[in-house]
Amino acid sequence: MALAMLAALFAVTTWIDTGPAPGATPTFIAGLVLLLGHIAGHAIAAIGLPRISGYLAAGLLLGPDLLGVISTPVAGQLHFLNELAVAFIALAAGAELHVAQLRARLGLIGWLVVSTTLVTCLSVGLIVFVAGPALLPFAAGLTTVQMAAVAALIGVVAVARSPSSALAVIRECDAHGPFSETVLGVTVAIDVVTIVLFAIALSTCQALLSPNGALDLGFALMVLVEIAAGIVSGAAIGMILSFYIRRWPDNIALLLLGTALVVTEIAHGTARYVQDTHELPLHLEPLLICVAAGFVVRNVGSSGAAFSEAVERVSLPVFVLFFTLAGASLDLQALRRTWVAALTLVAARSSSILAASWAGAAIAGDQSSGRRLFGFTFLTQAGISVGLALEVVRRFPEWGEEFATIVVAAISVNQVVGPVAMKYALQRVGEAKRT
Amino acid sequence: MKLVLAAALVTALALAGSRFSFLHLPLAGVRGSLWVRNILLTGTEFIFIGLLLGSPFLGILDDMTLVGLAPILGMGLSWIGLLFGIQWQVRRWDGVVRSGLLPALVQAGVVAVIITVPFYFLLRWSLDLSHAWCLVGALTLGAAGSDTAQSALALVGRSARGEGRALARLLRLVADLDGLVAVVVFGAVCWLPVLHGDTGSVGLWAALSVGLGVVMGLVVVALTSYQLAEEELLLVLLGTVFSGGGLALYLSLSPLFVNAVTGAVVANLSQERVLRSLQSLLVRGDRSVYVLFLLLAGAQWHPSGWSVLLLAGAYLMLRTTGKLAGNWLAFRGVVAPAVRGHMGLGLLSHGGLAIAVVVNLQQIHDGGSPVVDAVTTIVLVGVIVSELFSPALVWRVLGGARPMPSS
Repeated sequence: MALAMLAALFAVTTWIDTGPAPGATPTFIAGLVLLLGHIAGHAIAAIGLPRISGYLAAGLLLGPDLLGVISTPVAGQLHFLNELAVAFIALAAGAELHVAQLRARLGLIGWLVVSTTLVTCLSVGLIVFVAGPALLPFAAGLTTVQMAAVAALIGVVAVARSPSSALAVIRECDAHGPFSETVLGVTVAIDVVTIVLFAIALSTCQALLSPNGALDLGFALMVLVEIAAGIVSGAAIGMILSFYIRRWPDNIALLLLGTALVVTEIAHGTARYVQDTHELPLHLEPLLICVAAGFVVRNVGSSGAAFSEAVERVSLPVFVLFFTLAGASLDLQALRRTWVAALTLVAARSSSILAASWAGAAIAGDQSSGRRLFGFTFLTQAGISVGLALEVVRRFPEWGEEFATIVVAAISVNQVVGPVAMKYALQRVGEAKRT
Repeated sequence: MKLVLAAALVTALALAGSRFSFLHLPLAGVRGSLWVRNILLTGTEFIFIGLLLGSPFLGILDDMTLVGLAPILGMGLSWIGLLFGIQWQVRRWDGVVRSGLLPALVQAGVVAVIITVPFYFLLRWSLDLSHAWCLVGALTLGAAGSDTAQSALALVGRSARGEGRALARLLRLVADLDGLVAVVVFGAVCWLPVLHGDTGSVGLWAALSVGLGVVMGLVVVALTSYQLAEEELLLVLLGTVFSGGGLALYLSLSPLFVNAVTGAVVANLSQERVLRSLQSLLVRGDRSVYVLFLLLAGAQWHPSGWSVLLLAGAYLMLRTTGKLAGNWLAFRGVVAPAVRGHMGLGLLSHGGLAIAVVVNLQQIHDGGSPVVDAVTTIVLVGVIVSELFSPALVWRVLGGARPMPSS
């Protein structure tokens, strides 16, 4: 009934157009996204799937490929909210990393990071390299060395995860316990590792593919500077937040939204400033800054619990907004064009993650019931991998577009499949308190 | 960059304002004259901070930035509207509310008429506006003037002793209820075809306003009809506030009115448990939203010439006259004649919905228009001056209070 009434309301707006007041369209669409996301989340939960899949489905339905309610210009107007949501989720993810609880599992986390990174990167890269132009038509003119560079890039992108999806599913299931904490710890750590690996792979690839063939060590160095600067500034913001919350523990949610807003914009602004003044490609990653800030607030001082509680109270609207908009950005046309390559990449990535997680847990000597299930929780992929694919487009305009189309199509599949697999694992391990 | 930093600045000020202004500040802790204390305790200083940040001075919240912040304002208007509407739970009204409702509305109606009629001619004469725009300006002023803010009553009413306490309760009840006239009258202003590019009719826009509010209310009732956790209620609340506000702005209607109708539907059709939770969520953000309004109303304020200040003086006089006459007329048989004569002075506190009405007008009609600038200046000056004097006037009225038992 609610759905029918919302549809009727939307029909009214398309029927009457009186020159809307400024900001009317994005305000309305943001509200519609929240309400429809909520309805879709509940509907899909009724058949046992995670609500995040419902949010993605609602976004897909509203997106430019189907109903077109969230058209490309409208998505542009809502981009601001999307970035805000990413930073907020990163704060929440950082707050989930409680050192006191993670300390006992640092070995396991380390092995899972190493094993899944190496195995995924190498096996996906190898499959791409062997398949060559049969999988990537744009690679037809490349030499063997150049093909290896492209394969390495795809391999690195395959390593990236989605902390936001992982956190959303963990929150939805109200999952608490060593398995969930390990999963989140690994997921966040791997995103940092991916950024470093990507920088190295991109520099190598540029050296191999560019006419002058020089290795751009400066770029790799710049990435290390970015990561260090991100962590340091995040820690400083975390200390300030911690102090503020300790003194004035009310209205934390508003404070966090403001922080997410400022971090996002200052990170982007600094990048633009450094590029304009020194011609240096410094990209401070808001995600990394916010994870570091959340981590510091959670683990330094006494305001961690209040912080986590406040984050939890307002995280649902942020998740719904973020994933519904992510659903709207899924590129069905790209998937239709490149589904064979995309599904091959998904299969290669999934099988290597499953095998590597099992091996990593075994090497770490994990005897828990969840040791065979870690892999299912690492299939989610979003956000940062799309950013990496777009960086490839920027660096290699001659074939970057085709590269990104295939990669984004594979990410779209992982974005849909990942949460379902993760919910299954959390339920099997017995840490999901809500089904 | 500037938009986001401005948004962050406004958020920080709203956060600080909700914490450090209003009644959080102990009276004894504020040094300086009584007037300065009144300004600080009622949050009026944020109008000046907004003005300082706006384009006439620092330019941080310039016109372009304010357009970018429009969704936040739309959400704020909807929030206030919903909070106002959700209080109209008819089945919970006791005898006191039932007996106070009609007089409260009558006094507010009298104020609205006493302001609107002369201002129609004053605007026509001073700004040389067309009939339709004079009607928009005069009715908006009538709507804004009819409402009584709670700030002075909350500030002084608590310390009333003896018989003054009963009168303080009555004044607070009136201030709670008389906002309905402001919301409805301004809602009706937005039905005038002139605000819709001279398309449609008053009936069409009225039906759409009420229809949107009712449908959004039914959506909320349907979505909250089963057990929801608090974070899910927040999700539904935000979804309603955004979509209701966005739709109203899309159709150049009043988000305040549309969401008040939504709130009233929710109040009367929802389960008690859901209603309590929604009210608690709305109240939690209320103060921050109000500070936001004060700031942005100040930032959008383009102080007009001296002639408009004269109009502001006329507005204050008419409002005072209206409050005195309205209360004298409405509370016959309820309040002793000696008190009734000056009871209106206890209801001069100004702000809250009046500011929301001004912000709403700025939202649905392009800034820079003479009528919007004039109405903004008149109401903001009215709010500032009223907040300087109203706590002292409330105190005076309560000192001589002798409310009669209701018959």
